[in-house]
Amino acid sequence: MHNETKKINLIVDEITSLLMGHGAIEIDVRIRTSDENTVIKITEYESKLDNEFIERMQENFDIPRQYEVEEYYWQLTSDNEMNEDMYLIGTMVDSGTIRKADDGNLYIEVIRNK
Amino acid sequence: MDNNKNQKKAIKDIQVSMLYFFPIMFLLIGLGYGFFVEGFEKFFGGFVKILVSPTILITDFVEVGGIGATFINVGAIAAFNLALIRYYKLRISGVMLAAFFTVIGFSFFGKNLINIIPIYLGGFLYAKHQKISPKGILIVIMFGTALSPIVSELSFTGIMPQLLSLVVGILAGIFIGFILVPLSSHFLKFHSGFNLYNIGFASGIIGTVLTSILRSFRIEIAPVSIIYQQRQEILLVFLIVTFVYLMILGLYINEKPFRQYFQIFKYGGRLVTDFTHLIGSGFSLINMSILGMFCIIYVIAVKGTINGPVIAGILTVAGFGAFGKHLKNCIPIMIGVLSGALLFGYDLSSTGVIISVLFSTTLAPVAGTYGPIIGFVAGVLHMTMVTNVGIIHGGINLYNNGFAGGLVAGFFVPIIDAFKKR
Repeated sequence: MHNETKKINLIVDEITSLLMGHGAIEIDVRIRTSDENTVIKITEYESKLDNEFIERMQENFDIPRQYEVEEYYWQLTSDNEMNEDMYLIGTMVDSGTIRKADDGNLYIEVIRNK
Repeated sequence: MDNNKNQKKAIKDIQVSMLYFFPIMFLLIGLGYGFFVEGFEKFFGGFVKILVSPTILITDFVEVGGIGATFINVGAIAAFNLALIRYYKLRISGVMLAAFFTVIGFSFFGKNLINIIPIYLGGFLYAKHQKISPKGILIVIMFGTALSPIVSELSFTGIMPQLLSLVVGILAGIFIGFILVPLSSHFLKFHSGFNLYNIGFASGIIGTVLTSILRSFRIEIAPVSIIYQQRQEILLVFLIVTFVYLMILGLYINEKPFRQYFQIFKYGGRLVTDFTHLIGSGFSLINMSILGMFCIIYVIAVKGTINGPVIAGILTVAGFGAFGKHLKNCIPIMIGVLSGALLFGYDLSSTGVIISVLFSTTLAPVAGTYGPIIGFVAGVLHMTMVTNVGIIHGGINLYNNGFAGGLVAGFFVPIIDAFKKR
């Protein structure tokens, strides 16, 4: 797919930038690609994010994939500190989950089909 | 809280069929007014004139071909785009509403069936070349018909023998459609999403290059001023009907308490702010209606004429009411432009000033993000830019305000950020 690597990097960059903007001090990123899809797993250790924020992120991941939005707007980055809307990322992934576990860590997994 | 969803929630509350109202209304008005008021000969002749006019800024189709023919043009283009949306099963999102209303708005001045088709073809060729689905580029191409005047200008101004002119015009349109997708996406970075009419900015750059090439071959491209100056109630009535319909539709779809509508004002409006996702489709349509009505009141208040360009401005503002604009981020920009117009001695009732005020709302995200005072300054700056950049591209970019807005945002926003305390 066109510009696929750049789009994967953008998704990772957007999520990690958002987490770091909210005080993240330790993040792990794992990316696994196959012929069918790319799975991105991000772990934020000792996350300080509250449930309301996590719910909002999950709502964005629940947006249906919109190729027409992705193809046009994917090069927009959140270089402006105030932009926290993950809507664009939501339109670029097929599914995503975000949960805060009992250990206090935040686990994010997004899947982008090819 | 259920965090184990892997199934995406589909949002499908605005159906394509709900938008059929618009082409049907346009075609009925066109046929009714054309046959019973203007007469068949004037109506048919007007439609041909619209198709073969050069369509450079500002070419008001209501003046060129009459009201009946203009509405037929608008209806046909609306139907064409809805057919594509339905065929590719695209969701009626905020950006789709913005694109649809922008296209039909500019079908009153600049876009016709002949000059938009080559651009669509170019976009589809790009999709084929990149092995992506055409639905991925449809929004860009819908907006991208901003440069459709180049097709008409090359085809119908006698620059070359007619058949050759037509071929060159069509090829130019295909070329524009082909390069527009990658270029427009790239140019987003220049203004970081603070200019909503990004295609206008990209089209301004492309138009400048193309016009420069043509001028190098001694082919002069210059803006014109063909504007309908009469008062016709049918033009005002159809606008009111449009926004009443959107309000009714919005109230029908919406299931939330109305007080939640005001949450829209917390969004700055920077790309990508899709209100159909953020506050719901019902409130988005209601917001579109409110903005549309506000624009009508503004035009009447300054004693302006409702004509093709003004209709385009009103419909475009309304369309982006689903994709970033609301009263709180639009009004400061509009006041800034009006103040600039007063300062520089322009006639506030003139079509040029009115459409500058309406289209200046491309900079709504600046006011929405940095506040009304910064928004006001951006509006004044926009007024100075928009009156001076049209000559650069020679009027082949219909979204001249988008071009000016991109320059203002790209220049102004980094300066504001540089002064912000960290």
